[in-house]
Amino acid sequence: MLLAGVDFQVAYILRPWWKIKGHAPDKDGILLGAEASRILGLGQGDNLDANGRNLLVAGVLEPTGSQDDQIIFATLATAQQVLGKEGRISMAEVAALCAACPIDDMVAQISGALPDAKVMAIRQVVKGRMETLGHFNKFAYGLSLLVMLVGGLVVLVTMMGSVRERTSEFGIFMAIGFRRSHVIRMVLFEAAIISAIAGVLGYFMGLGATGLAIPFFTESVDVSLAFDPVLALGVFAAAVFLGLIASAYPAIMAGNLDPNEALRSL
Amino acid sequence: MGYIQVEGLMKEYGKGEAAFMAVRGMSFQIHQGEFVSIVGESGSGKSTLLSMMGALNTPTKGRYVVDDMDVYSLGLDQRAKFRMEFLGFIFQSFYLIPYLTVMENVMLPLAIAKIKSREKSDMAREALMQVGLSGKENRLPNEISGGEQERVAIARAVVNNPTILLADEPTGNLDTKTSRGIIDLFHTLNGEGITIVMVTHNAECAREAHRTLCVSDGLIMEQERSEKVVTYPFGLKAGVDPYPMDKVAVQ
Repeated sequence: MLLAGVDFQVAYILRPWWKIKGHAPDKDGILLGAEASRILGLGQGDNLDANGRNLLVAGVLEPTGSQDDQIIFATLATAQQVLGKEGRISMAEVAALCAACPIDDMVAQISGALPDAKVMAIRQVVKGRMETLGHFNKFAYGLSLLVMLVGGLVVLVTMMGSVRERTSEFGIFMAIGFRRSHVIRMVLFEAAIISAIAGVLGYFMGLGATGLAIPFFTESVDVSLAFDPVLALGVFAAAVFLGLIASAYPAIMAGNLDPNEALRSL
Repeated sequence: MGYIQVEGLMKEYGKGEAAFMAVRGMSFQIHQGEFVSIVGESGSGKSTLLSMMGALNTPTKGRYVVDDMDVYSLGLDQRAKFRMEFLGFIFQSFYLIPYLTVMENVMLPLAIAKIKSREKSDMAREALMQVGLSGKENRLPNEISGGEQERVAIARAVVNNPTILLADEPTGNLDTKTSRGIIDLFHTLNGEGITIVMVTHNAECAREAHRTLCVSDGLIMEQERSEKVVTYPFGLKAGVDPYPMDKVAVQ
């Protein structure tokens, strides 16, 4: 039976599929893999004598289908003490959680620092996470596109309503000499101003909402949001563009109003 | 500038059995600097006539010529330019933009003119002074009286120095005293050379014009000359009738 010392906080990040009946052990406890628990006939609350040290079974892992099922886990310090290997590490697993992390360089660097340890990159974990991240990104882009489409429709309907409501106003403008192009430009200018304000507000509201949501999606306290001027400019430009596109038809409708009919609506 | 010629103007609304002729063939001339009133019952066609004279309503048939310009042979943009350069409109309900100040309302026709902002402000202030509203530039329309709103509408109509002023029942919503003030203002503007065409229901106001065209059932039924007209200051000689009956299509 293999006894492994692990850093449980990191283990949860490297093995998010772990489900424990009980809880993670402290320095006087152990966590049993499902198969190890069955073979040893031990469950939560039982004790195990390991090289003369009495260790409490704090929890049992649910079956994972991996080698973890046959392992007894303890904290790194406890395992080193029990096995008489204080200060020594025999294996390090490296998982990079970013898309472009140079994982091979990281493995080489850690191997250099721990020459007696076997350092391995958990590529499949990274790959799986990257795929998940990719799917999530696609979903986010799709959702954004949908939100933009709905936003565009809202702008269209609002501007149509505004043009209808202001028919008489446009009639007055035309009666005093405004041309079709003047009226179209006027409507588009108003739409651009409103969209620009909406873009700026939307960006900062999004930033604020993300800031509020981060603690619910990450365990790290070091994650912070940075103002990205390129993204801000992109959002601003997209909002103005969307506003102008959605207002094009109402603007043309306003420009094509018959001034005589428009004045009659008063 | 400001000589108006209307030739056989007709306007039909609707189609098929629902069609009806609002204007059934009107012909007349208006000289530069003349003050003409158009009277008639509701639905007689006088407002339709005025909208056609304002280049807002394309006639079914006939010609509308201002100076040498056949207005309805112009494209839509050119017609808009014509309205901006030649015409001033005064509507019965004032039609001021409620969220703009008095000054901004008066400046509206200048918004698209290619002149400096300072000059636009000066022109608007001058127009407001002309109608006696100096000092009320920053008020909103709902902060001034009906008579003052009418004066703002007049200031807006004359701010770009039009040669023709078209007024659709300008005293329709005003009391007698305020109406009197508006008519006096029209006389002042007319004295400055602006040709005025005024549609009205008010016989007293109509009598203030040099000439009155009586419209009924889409036709000009008669024209009357005011006894008050004694001089024609814009190139017309006193004693010479500038409005011969054969130039007016009277049914």
